[in-house]
Amino acid sequence: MKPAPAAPSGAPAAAAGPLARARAWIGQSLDRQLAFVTVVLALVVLVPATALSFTLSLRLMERDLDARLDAQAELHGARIAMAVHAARDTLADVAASPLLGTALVDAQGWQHYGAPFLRSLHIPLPVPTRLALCDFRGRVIAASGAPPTLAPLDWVEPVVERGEWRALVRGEGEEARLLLLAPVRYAGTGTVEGAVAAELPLPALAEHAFRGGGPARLLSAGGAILAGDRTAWTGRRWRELPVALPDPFDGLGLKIQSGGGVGQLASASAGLLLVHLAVAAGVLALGLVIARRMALRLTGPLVALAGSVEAISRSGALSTRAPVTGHDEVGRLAEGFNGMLARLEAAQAAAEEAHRGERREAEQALRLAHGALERSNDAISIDEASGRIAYVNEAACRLLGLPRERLEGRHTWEVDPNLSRGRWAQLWTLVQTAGRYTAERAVPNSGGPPRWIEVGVHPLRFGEADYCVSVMRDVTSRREAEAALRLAGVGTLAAGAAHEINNPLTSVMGNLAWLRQALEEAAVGGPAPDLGEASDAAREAYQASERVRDVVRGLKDFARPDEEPQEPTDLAAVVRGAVTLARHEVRHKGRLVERYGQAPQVLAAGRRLEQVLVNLLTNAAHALPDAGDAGEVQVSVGTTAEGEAFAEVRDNGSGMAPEVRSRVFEPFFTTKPVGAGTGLGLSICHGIVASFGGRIEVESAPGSGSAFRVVLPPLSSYALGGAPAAPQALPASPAGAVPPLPPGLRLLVVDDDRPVLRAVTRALGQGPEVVAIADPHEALRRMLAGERFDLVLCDVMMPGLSGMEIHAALLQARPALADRLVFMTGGAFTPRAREFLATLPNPCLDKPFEPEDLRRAVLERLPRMGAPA
Amino acid sequence: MHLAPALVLASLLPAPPAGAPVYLGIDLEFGHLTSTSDDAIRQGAILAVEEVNRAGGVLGGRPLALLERDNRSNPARGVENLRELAAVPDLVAVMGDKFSMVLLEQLPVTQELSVILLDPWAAADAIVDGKPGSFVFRLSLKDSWAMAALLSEARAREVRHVGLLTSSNAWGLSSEQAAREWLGRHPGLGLAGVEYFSWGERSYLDHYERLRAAGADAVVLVANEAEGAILVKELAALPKERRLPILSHWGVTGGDFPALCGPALRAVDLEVVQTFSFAGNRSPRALAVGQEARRRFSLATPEAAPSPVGLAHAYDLTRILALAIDLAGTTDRRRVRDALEQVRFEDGLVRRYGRPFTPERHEALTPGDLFLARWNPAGVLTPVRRP
Repeated sequence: MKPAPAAPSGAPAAAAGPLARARAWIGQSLDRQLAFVTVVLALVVLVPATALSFTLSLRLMERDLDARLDAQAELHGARIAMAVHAARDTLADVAASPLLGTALVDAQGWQHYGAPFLRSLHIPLPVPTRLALCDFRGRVIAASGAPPTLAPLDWVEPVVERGEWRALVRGEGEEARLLLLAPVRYAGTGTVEGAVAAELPLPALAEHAFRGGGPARLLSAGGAILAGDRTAWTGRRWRELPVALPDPFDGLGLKIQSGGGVGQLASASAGLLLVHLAVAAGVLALGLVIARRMALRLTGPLVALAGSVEAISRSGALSTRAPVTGHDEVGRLAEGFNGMLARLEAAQAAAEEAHRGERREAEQALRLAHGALERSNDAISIDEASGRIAYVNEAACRLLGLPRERLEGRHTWEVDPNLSRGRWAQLWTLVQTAGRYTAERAVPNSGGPPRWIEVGVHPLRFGEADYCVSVMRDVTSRREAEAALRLAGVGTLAAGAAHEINNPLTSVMGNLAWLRQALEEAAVGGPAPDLGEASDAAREAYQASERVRDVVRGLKDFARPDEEPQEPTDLAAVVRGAVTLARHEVRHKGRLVERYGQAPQVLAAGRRLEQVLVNLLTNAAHALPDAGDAGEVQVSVGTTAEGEAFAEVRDNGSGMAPEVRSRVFEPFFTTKPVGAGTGLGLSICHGIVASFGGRIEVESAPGSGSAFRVVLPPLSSYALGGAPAAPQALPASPAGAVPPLPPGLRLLVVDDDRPVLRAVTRALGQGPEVVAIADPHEALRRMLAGERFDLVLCDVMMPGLSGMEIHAALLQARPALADRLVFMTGGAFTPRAREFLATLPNPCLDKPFEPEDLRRAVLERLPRMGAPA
Repeated sequence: MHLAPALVLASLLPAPPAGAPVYLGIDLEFGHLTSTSDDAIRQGAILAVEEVNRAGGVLGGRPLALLERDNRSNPARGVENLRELAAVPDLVAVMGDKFSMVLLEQLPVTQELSVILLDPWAAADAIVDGKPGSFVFRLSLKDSWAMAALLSEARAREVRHVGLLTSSNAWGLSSEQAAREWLGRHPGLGLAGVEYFSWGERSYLDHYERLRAAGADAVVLVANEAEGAILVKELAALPKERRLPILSHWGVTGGDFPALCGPALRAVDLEVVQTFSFAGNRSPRALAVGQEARRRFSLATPEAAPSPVGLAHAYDLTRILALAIDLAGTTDRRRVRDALEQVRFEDGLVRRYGRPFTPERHEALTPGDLFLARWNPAGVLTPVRRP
């Protein structure tokens, strides 16, 4: 065997413990394991076998001893039964004797014939037995010797009155005796007139019965020892049998206990145990020797083979071969091993060759991919979940204006000022759950205006790690083209808007001019104007103003900045907005038909989407023929079979030839005359819709019109949770008159536009006291001075001091009054202003507004405020 | 009309007795299988009690009543019965049965409890010992008188040797002793031998044959009805020449001996000693009592009553006791005992007594009252002669 290797030094060895060391030692060689297994098997078999054999032998010994004890008890019992049998027969004979019957009624004559009779009786019993005759009361009339003790006389009733036989155990210890009683009948009456008793001393009877046997004793039915061995039978094995007494004494219940020798079984079992242990030890030793020899025979070739294998594994020399020792399993194992080595050697050579080829191909593919990445015009960045930039290509370096070494390894938010650590985490989650993220954003450009970058972010799982692949494209040129398009659109719109405004404005000016003239003439003593006609002029002017207001509101929405974020958007609302803006374009060429069906919300930037639809509507209008009234543009909103939202613009105009239709989304492709369009419209529309994850479908044929369908994925497909709450807005004007404001209110109106100031003051009516101030500084001064106002109506955009600044100052000095601000705005033009209004709880009235809207806002705000501040 | 004489007769009769009864105990072998003597004694006592009570009872109008006990002829039971009866208030006397063994055992108790023991049958000489103050009074024969009568008869028949076949009990021993004494005084009649038997033996032929082999010409039998009947049947089965005359003590009349023996009785020469018989008895008392007994106990004839001596002795003893109670004027047993020694009773069924008992003599009868009798073919025990 090999020597046990030195235990590793230090604490681990000590901690391993002797058991672990023993296991390690055994595990080092096969012959040790075989020997160990042999010992364990031997123990597993030998211990239960020895225990079983010992137990069985012991049981046999016990059974044998019990059988001998039973036989002894049976013999003892039979002797007692025989004695009782003899006593019973004697009693029966005596009781049947006429002499006894006569004696019962002849006490005086008894001495003459009875005593000799009794004396003459030969009682064939092995123990001294006393006989007695007693009268019907149990009194002894005569006895064969010393009269026996018959008391207590509980036997008299059954024996004399019922004529039964009785056997009784009387006395204890050496005085214990068996009393047998038989009824004696008197021939004269035929009745039992007395009894004859036989008394047998139980010690003598037991001595007679137990002669020549081992320890034994006689027990009463109740278990009391009547005769025999009275010692405690501790350590003694014993058996108990009932004594089968002859009829009619069989109910006495006597028992015989027959005992073995003290320690007899214990010493025998100890010897038996020794023999078993010796045999088991011998078998174990023999088994060990045989096992050891067999182990050595078995493991010798194995050890040699193992040495060869170890040598090969150390050297790695697959050309080495193990020695073949024979044709047994070990020999076949060695041959098999050698064969395996040969195949391994061949396979290794082939694998190395194949590996070299694959590696070459992979390296080439990798180089190709890397080259493609590096040469891509799109900037590509691969980012880890932690935000660390793992890779950037050359275009990314150019785009970001930083060398590769300043990008790779840094965090995204260290490179992109639009990002923060938290924003990155949100973006990561969005991309991983939504599957993509697309945005356009401005990035700083050293020494120039910011560059617009379109970013498409996609998740990438590589191995066990997740990445984001960001593909960034400089869309500044496209944005500029869009801006040009928008400017062109604005130009077009402005022309349309001018037309839309000029018409009602003509009505306003005409009516107001007439009204002013009539009132001025009346003021200088001219005739009073016709009140009905004046009222009609004022109403028509007002209605024309409403049309102007709608046009201006549409233009204002169109002018929203481009960095509008994507948010849950109602496609139908966007289409309505676009229709409002483009209506005038269509109206001159044909009918506009609107069909609004159910459509899911989409994730989009509402104003940019509106811009797309304005473009499509404008194109549709242009496609209609200039003459005739058959032209029609249909706008419809609905849901595709796949659950996507769509907005469709269909015209029945000239339509497109296939070659034209296939190119409509190409930049600068246009069918319009030179100067009539930039050629960028549909290209930009396509880009915008694509940035929302959607598409534009085209259906067209020459002579049958065209249909452009904007299809957007539903918001629910992004799995971003519930749609954000719609922005809070004042409720629309409900139908019904708003009551005039109550007297006693003190209201402050602040607006730098004096006509507006006056109009608002008038609209508030005669009830409240209105303080109208055009200078915001003056207004703030008076408010900070503690002047009481129930409510403050304040413009937002004012030169020198904005409504936001007033609110901030009041929040510091008079917070209660800050809550009583109601803002008015003709358009929050800066992002800061829009954010300010969105976050404040204070209501905001969009100019222009109806006097009823103004009074309703005041009335709704007042009850919440309670006492004036 | 018979009404008037009947009313006159009724007015002449004494008023029926009233008040607490005065008791006479009778302790008899009612449980004995073959005895008729118990019935005879009881009938005699009943007849006498009813006669006394019809005459107004005792002690100026108290009824005389019987208290019965069964001793099964077992002396031990007899002793217990005597003790029980002695404890009954106003019980003045107890009448015993025919078994001498019972009375002999009762003797000490009579003295101990001062209870009068009337003996209407039991014949052992020792029952009446003649000691002054004894509470035992006998109106019967005794064994020595019976043996004398039987042996005299044998001698009259010129029998040379008698054999004595006797039960092995006290009665038999008493009889043997009396016989030996009589034979000792009367040479000429020899005793061939004595054979003892036990009650309940199945056969007595061996005893008989041994006596005959010993030269007995006649057998003097001391036995009761059951043993006697067996012997008679066995003798009847013998050739006539081997049948010896049987002279029997009266124990065989204690049962319905003709019934027990059957036809065999006529084949055997058997005479038995008696003291009383209704047969041929013409005395007015015998006629009156006989008629009353026949009426009262539904007898065919007065003679048909088995064990007539028992009836007659009990009747007379009861009459004498009633007189003594009246003489004593109390139920106090000592004073009644004394009165018994003084009372006079002339009109007895067995005989005219004069003073039946005296302080010196507690035997009411004498040897002269004995006679020999034989069962006639009708089964009636008929006096034959006086010895």
